[in-house]
Amino acid sequence: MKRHLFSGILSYLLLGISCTVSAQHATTIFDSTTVMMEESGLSHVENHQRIKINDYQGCKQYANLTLDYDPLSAYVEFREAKIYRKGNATPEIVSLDNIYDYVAPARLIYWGASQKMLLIGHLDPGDEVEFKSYRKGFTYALLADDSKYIPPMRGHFYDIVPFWSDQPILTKYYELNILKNKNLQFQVYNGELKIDSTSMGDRIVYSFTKNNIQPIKKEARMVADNDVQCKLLLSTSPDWETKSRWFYGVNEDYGSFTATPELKALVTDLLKSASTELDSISILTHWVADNMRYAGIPMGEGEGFTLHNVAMNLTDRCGVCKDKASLLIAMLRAAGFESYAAMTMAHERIDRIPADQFNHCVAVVRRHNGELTPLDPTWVPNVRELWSSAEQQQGYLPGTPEGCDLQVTPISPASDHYIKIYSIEKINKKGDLECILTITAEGQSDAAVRRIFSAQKSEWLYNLHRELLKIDPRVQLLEVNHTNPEAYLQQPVAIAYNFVIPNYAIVANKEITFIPFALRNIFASAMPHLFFNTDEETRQYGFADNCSRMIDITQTILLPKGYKKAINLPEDSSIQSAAASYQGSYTLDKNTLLINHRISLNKRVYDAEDWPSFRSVVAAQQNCSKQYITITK
Amino acid sequence: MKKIFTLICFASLFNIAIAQQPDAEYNLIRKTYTLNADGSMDYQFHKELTLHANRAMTAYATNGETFITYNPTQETLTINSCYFIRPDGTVVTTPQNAFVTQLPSECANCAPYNHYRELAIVHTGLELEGTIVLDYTIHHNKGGISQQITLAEDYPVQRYEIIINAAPGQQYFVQPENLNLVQYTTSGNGGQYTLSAYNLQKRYTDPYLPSNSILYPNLYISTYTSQELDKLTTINIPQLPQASSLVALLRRSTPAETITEIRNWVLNNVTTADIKVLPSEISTNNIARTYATNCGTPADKVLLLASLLRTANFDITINWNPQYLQNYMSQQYALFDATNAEVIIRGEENLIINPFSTSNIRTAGTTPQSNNIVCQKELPWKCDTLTGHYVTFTLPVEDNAFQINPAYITPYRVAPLQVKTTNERYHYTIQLPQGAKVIKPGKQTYNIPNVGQMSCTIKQDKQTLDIERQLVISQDIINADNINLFHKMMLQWFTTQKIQIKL
Repeated sequence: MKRHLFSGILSYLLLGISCTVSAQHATTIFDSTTVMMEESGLSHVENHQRIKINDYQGCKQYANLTLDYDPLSAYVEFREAKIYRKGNATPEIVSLDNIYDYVAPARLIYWGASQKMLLIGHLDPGDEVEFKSYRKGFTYALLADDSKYIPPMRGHFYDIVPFWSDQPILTKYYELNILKNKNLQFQVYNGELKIDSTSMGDRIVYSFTKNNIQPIKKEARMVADNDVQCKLLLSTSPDWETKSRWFYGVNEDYGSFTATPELKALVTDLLKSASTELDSISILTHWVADNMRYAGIPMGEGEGFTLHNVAMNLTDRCGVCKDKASLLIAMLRAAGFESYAAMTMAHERIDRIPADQFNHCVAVVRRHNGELTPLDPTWVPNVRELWSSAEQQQGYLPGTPEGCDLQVTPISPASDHYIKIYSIEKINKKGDLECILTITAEGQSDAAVRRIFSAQKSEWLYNLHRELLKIDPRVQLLEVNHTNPEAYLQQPVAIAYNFVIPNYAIVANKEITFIPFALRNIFASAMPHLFFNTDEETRQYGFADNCSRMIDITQTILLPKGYKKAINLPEDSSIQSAAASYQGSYTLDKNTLLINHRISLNKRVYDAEDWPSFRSVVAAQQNCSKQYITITK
Repeated sequence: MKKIFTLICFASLFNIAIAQQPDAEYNLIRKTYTLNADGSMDYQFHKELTLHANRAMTAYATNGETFITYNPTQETLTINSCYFIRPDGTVVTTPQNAFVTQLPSECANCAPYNHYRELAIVHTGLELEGTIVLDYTIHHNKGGISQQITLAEDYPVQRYEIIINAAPGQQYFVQPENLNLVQYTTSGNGGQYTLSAYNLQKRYTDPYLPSNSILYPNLYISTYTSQELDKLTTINIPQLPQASSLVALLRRSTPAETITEIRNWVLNNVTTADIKVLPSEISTNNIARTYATNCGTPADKVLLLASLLRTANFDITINWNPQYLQNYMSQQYALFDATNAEVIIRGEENLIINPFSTSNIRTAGTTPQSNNIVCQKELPWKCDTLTGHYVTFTLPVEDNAFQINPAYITPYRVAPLQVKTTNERYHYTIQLPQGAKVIKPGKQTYNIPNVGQMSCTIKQDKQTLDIERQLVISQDIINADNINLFHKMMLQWFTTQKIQIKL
């Protein structure tokens, strides 16, 4: 289980990944891991690696080696390190006196995650570094004494072993020595491994080997590496239901959700205005989202997988995703709802083997129709949703008393995340443009447009104006109005502009030539699909947008009298597929040009096979934003 | 159109003009420096920040945490008080588990500075209209100040106080700057000095900002005399024998290329521990350590660069470029910042470089960038089709030509604009295809007295297009009064870079 089991994911905004193979600054000659699991679940892990340094960047990268650990639940040590200088078979022994043990730099989550760093020292290209390390325990906090290294799901074992890397690995070996009665299940995904097993009395030793692992050529905005590259999942947990029951029990036993009088009073006060079930759920979810900051402080024993209790959450008013989920569950229960915590994996697929493939925690509530509805107070500050649709097509596991199977959040319809642009443009005989343009948005698109108000108030006007200036720096803003961003639950965001652009159109020889302003990708930051590079005709891997999305553009352009004949007017066009669609129409009626465009991108996570249609739709929108129209008398 | 605008406006639209209350506000910031008789120093910091908007406190806002970096081998950090005053007056004391001591990220992967620590304080119990209060003291065993304090923060400050108390015999110098920008009082008596400034605006966030020295009130404090800092220049930089094989690998066919290779190695392959050191901590003893650990402070990187160049047999000196302050009682004080340092390679190369940037290599005696451009040439025909028979010919951007994005300049800007002075003249001729006709020939000019001017003349004679453009900017800081005019001039300058032609 990862150290930051429920730390939440912020990286979903950072999708601009390089599209090239990583420079190979070093090569792993071998990477060997042996694991010996005890009856209790405690595991002893020995790792042995040898790295060849290829260039100066590699020298810098391996000048220090680090091991991450949580001192409350794990123990790590370097056991040996040697440097083989280029052309010299006799190694230099690295002194283990040069080990630094410290709390690692952190932002947002301050749980005291630690590192041991071994100083290797100056290296030159061609040198090789060989080192051995040892680890026991787990990566979140547990109990005192030796038992602190036993996993919370006592007697069980799991591991997620990537057989991929951003640098070449000549041989990777993983060995697990485990009791036969643990009924290990494992599966290799996205590739093949050489697998052996040897019976030794009541134990069995499994080994997994792969040679010549090469970094893949990454594609921009591709799905997670673990979704497409070779990995090994191992688990002794029989099924997800068992994991679900354990997760339910561990938080109930701790008393995470036990209401205090202060909480009850707060819930009563907040729900005064609620008239429906959904009202209540919405008010409580957004209260937690907006009033409990994202900042993790350690609770000591149990941190990492135990949800902070009500008293701590209400006093601190801060926590990570699990703590925000915890307060919401407690509030929902205080309001009479049945509610539980759930584990999820933001932006990475959860595969069927019940290893702990989780990095985020949310809540679920049982609606009157019996269904469990997921709620995410971490991802919905300033978002008009209860469950962020940026997490659609994502696995999650509620922790319930009866046990739950793995769930997957459904696709959210593109129309729930619309951007509607409506403009009336008037072009005079000199080519000056006067424009009234409104933009409204809903769902995740609302949140994206609304982000313009995330800066300090004093910067709003500048930011609003700049959205126009980015299109054309000659824009002279006459007036702008917008909905109140601080009351985001009351209505979808709406912004209305009135502006002029002198000499916008080319006027010559009784012809007017221009690009319709509203087609020029205003608020492009709310349309992240526009930043896909559409040069490649095919993709090898699936890819991800931020969310499903629909864009509606309706434009009326009033031309000077007499301009009624189209010389250059794009033909109406349509692209239709299950993944994405585009429809564009242009109608010239005397001196009035009517333009309608609708773009629909229907998923967040797409298969590689979806790329041709997705690409065509994106390219169609991009092309329209550059396409000049000429009208003559 | 106005009527239409009114019609389509939403009933509940929020007028932006009223949205000017700050998101948060410092009631008080106080920095107190006490120079003790034994040479040590105590620095006490106090802040009170009231939160007015949800944006300033929740979600992923940064105001909820404070980070204090210190060197435990020389400094002791004491938290005097830390709490939150809720709007109803109740006080939430920050619990012990909200204070986490960790390695500062500036020192990650850097063994020589692994002893530095950062106290992360998570302010708990935050509510709208409540106030964060924090007071701490750092005791410095060795003392010594070299600091520019800029009186501007991310939110407005009602009262900003800087207090210096020096024990008898402890010398320091303070030099205020731009205090006329704010309401202030100062007082001093013997070794005591107090500056109180009131109602400070928040920092500007505009692009193309001039330096803090131009924009805000500042107070320079130094305990270092210029003589002490000048001594650094005379430090003898030793060769580094253990780096001779590296230097041999980096050697190229010309001295300039070798110098560049060595500079690039230090720039790219030595991790920067971005912490400030005092002049008294500069030591050539660190050079071997920086080389062995691939890591050091900016000062360490300067010393290593100089040493590697010495190992390559270049004749070098380091100019630490201290910032000299005014004379005070026949004594001159100065500020020290290692990131201003440059290595000068004497001899025929006569180059000046630093290990922080690839762009800062220049010949001694020259300014960093030339700003006089005279360009005359015939351009080959190359156009972008707009539609049908309309095309655009885009004039080239010559090396070192003035560049600014007019989209970043708005009429609301009150901050001065940092530009560079320039004088550019271009004369291009282009042979047009048969029948092509420029759409808007003629002359356009724009003149802002004492600031600059532009002109562009486009003439077509049969199939020859003759273009003359000139841009002169005579001030490097454009004041708020001239920004709108400057914006218009820039629009005209960049618009005339694209010539529309009908084929």
